[in-house]
Amino acid sequence: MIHPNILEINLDDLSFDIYKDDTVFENYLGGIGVGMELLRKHLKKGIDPLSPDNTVIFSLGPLNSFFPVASKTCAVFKSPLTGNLGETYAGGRLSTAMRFNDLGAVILKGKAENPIYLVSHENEVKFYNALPLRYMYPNTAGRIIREKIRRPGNRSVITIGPAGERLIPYACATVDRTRHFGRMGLGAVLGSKNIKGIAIIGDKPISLDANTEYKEYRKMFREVYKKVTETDLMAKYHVLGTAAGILPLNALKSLPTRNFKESTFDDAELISGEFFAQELLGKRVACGGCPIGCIHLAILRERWEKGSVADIHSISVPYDYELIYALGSNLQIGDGADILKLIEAVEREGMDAITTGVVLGWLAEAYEKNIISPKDTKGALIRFGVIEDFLNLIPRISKANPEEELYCVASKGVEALVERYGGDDFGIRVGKVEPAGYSTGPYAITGFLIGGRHSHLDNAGYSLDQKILNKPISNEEGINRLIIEEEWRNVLNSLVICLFARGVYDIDTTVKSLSSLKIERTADELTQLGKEIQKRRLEFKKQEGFKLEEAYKKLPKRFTEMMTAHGHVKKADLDDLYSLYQKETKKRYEIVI
Amino acid sequence: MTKRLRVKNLDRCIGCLECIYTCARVNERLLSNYRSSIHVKASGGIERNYVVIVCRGCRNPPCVPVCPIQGAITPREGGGVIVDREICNAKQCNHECVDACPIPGAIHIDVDIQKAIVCRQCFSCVQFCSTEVLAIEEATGEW
Repeated sequence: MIHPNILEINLDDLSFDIYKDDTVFENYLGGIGVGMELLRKHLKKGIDPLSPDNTVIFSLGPLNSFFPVASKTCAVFKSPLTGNLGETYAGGRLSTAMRFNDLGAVILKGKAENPIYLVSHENEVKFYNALPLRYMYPNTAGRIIREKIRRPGNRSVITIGPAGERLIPYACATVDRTRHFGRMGLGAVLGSKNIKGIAIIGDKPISLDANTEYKEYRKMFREVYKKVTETDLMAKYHVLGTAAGILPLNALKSLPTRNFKESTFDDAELISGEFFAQELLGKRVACGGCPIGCIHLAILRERWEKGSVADIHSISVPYDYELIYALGSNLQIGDGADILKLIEAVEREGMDAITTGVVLGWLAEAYEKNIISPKDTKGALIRFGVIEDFLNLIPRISKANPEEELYCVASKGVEALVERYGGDDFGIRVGKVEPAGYSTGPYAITGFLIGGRHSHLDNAGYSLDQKILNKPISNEEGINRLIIEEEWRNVLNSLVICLFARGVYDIDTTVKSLSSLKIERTADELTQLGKEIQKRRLEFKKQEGFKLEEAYKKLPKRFTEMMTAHGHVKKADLDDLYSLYQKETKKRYEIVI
Repeated sequence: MTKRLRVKNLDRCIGCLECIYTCARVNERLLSNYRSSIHVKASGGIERNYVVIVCRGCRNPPCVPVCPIQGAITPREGGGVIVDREICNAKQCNHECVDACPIPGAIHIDVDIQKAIVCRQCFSCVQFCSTEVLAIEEATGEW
């Protein structure tokens, strides 16, 4: 088993320490398991997420770089969006850079006096003045940092944009230009610590004789690689990418449209994965150590505002299902190239694209319903289907100018908008998080609600909704399946594999893969670990004041009004699922949240 | 006829780096992105294409005659070279092989072990190239 280092950086005095803590990796494997344990050790209870007291932890797991598609890095912190557990994952080359720099975790504490970016390589951490990079787009700053490093090969750069520097609570952190720690406001937390960028360089070889059962490891690698590339378990990701979901979900009446008012979109074909691939896709690229290459980069041709027909340039814009839903169907934007423009606008500010899309959806509906007036919008029009309106709003929200109250409030998310202006019924948020794009039915909603980070990826309720379309299950069984799924995903998130490969890393493959790395865990021990991690996530949430009942009561009425793959979701069913979950958590984790 | 490695569809490269890891895994018993005889780099950023750098498998390799250490690097039948790790010692030469190779990066000196690292035409990387950038070819042509 590999015993990586922990790099702990104290930003208050720009000092750092590199040390081992083998026990934490032995007990919790890595990723979210290690992240939760380190959070327990390094984060004080009840702190302000945007104060120097917050701690950010990036962590790898045992499979990273050793196995295909184990390409994610986990980040945990206290979220400024929810005031509670912040948990988000990113791909790119970060996990490989950390691995080859012998880092299993990076802990960031305190606050730098002035804006900095930092570069970690071997036993060094260098701090550079980032004041001249103020308010640069994430990718501009990333390019500058890469040029400063002047070192090709395995390096990874995390940067924040203007939104992060202005502490917008749903600012993201961009990794290697196309990937993101998208959710829950890591960008703002880094901004609050005066960190514009983090670069990790890794080029240290790791002995396979010392860290693996070499023969067994090569055999397992081959087996996993074959499953990844030669079966259909991951085929959809490399062909159309996640955008493959648009048409099937639309056909199921599950594609959120016009701020979740509708669940089918007339122009679905024009924003489908098929359309993007045919008309806009420029190339596909991969995260380090993933042969799939799900990163779809489209070419966006942009004409200059007052130029001739030849005054044009083209840029490369990554797209995915969630972005197409949030900035496309949800805003009634039915043109692929227009969606790319919105994605690019969000990328430049460095904001969470899902939250931004849902915030814009609320604004458009509130404007339509006269809940907000032209006085509030400072004369700006906010209309569904009108790209210019939204393009105008994105930088204004990111700026959060105190003289523009509406945009200031919008920069804090849907919960804040609803508290200030009303419109609660169509304020789409669950546990203060704007949800991903699945109006599939009761389990998607319940999954968002009970998930540790209120993400569709916590327990895949949206997937359960689809699986049971023709074979209904009892609410008891449904809740049970969500719980079991979330616990198992805690294990996968400790490895840290990309969840797109969840079908590849079944329990048997996981046990054998770990064993080839000299980590002996039985299937039962792994499921126990998943359960323990879940308990810790819930305990953390409770400690920081999360109340499930409150979140449940705040579910927008829209969820029972909108059409889903299961028809209209009944309030009685949601009530029942909620009570069953409360009962089950009490029994299972001995906790009432 | 003996075969050699060919970068057949360079533009298809998605930058997954599996070829690099495979080379290190199979030939060096390492998990490494550096001690590998094949390299991938972004040419002008991720928006542009990737470049794969590896020995071209010359049948008359320019890196061989310049080596001052007898037997350290010898031609391989059908193209390419074989480095004898027992004999090669980069501390005892001026890295003439690196200089002589017209393809920058195709042969490099590993700073840790002070040996020349160059493809030995084992073709393991080809099996782990999901986009068929790499292929095995008959050694024909002028080089």
